[in-house]
Amino acid sequence: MSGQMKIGYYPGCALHGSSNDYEQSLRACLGVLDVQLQEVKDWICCGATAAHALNHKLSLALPARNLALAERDGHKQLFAPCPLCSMQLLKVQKAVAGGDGLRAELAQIVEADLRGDGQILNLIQVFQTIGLDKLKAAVKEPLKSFTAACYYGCLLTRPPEVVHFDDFEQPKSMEAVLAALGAKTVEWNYKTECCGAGMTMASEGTVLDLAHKILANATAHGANCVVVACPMCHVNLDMKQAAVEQRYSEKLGMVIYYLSDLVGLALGLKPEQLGIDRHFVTKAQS
Amino acid sequence: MDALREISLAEGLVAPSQKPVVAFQQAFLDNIRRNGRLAELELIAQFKTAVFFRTGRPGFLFKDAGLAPQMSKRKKLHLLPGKVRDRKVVERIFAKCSNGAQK
Repeated sequence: MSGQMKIGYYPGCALHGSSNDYEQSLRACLGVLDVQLQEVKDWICCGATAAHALNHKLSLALPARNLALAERDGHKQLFAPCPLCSMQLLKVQKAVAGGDGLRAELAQIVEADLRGDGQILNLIQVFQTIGLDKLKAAVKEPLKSFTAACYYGCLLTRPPEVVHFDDFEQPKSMEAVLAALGAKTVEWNYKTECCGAGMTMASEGTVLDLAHKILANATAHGANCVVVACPMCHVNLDMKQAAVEQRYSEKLGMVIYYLSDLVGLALGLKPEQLGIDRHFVTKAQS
Repeated sequence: MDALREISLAEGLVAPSQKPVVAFQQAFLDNIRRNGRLAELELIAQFKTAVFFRTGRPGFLFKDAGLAPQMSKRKKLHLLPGKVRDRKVVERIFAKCSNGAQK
C-alpha cells in the first residue's frame, strides 16, 4: 500500500467494552493497510437504542456532541465501526440539514459548534475508500476455504433515507469485499433481518429465536461461516450461540467473523493478532 | 414508533411484558448520564436489581452468571471502564433534554 490514510475514529462503547475483539481486529487489519485511526478526544456514548426509544431530543444531542467533537478535531471523515453509532451520527447530520433552527438548538445543548458536514463511514465503506483493487493486490493468503454468509443486520443499510448505503434489501457490498479476498459467498434469505440487537439481556428469548433463524438459514444455504460488521450482531450470533443451541436442542457450530477478521487473515495476519481466538465459537475451516 | 414509545411511557401504558425492556433502557441512560460512556458491569448490576425489585424474582439476579467467567477468560469484562473527562457536560446535556422518561 502506498501513502498513509488518516481517518477520524469513533469507537463507541461496545468496542471499548465486551466487543473489544472487534477493535483489536480492525486496528490490526487497518494497520497492515496503512490506515491510521485518530480517535475523537473525549467522545461520549451515542445513547444507542435506549435514547431513541425513551427521549428523542437526547437521541439527537448525544451523537451531536460527538459530531461536534470530531469537527473540532478537524476530521473530515469519521469511521464508526458500530452501525448503530454510525446511523445515529448520520441521523443528526440529516436532521440539522433541515434548516429549521435545530442546528443552533443542538449546538446550545451540546455546548459546541456543529456543522454536520463530515463524511461518516462504516467498516465496509472504509474498505471501499481504500479501494477493493488495492485490497485485492495486498492479499497474501486467499480465503479459498471460506464460504461466507454476509450478514448486514438492520442498520448498515437502514433506514435508507438516513444511511444511503447499498441496496437496503439486497445489499452486495460485503460480498464484493470478500470476492477481493478470494472467498466464496452464498445467496441466503436473512442477510438484512434483525438479530434482536440490544435486547440480549432484556428480552433474551426474542434474541435467541431471531439468532436461530439467521444461523439455521446460513447453514441451510451452505455457508461455513457468517460475516458481520456490527458488535451487537456478533454478540447475539457468537456469544449467545450456545444458548440458541440449548433452546433448540440443535448443534449449529457456526463461526462468526467480523469482516475485518477475514480481511486480516487474507492479508496474512494470524487469528490471535485479530482476536479471533477470543470468540466463543471457533473452529478451523474445512 | 419512538414517539409512541415515549407517549406510552409518559402515560403509564407500558405492557407488563415489556417492562424489563424499559427498565434496561432506563438503566442504560442513567449509566451514561453518570459515566459519559457505558460501564457494562455496572449496567448489568443496575438492570438486574431493578427487575428484581419490580418482579420479586430472585432467579433473574443470577441468570447468565455463568457467562461471566467465560467473558473474563476472553478479556471481555472490564471492572474499570474508561470514563469521559468532562462528565459535567454530559450531565448538562441530559438536564437540557430531560423529559422525565429516564428515571
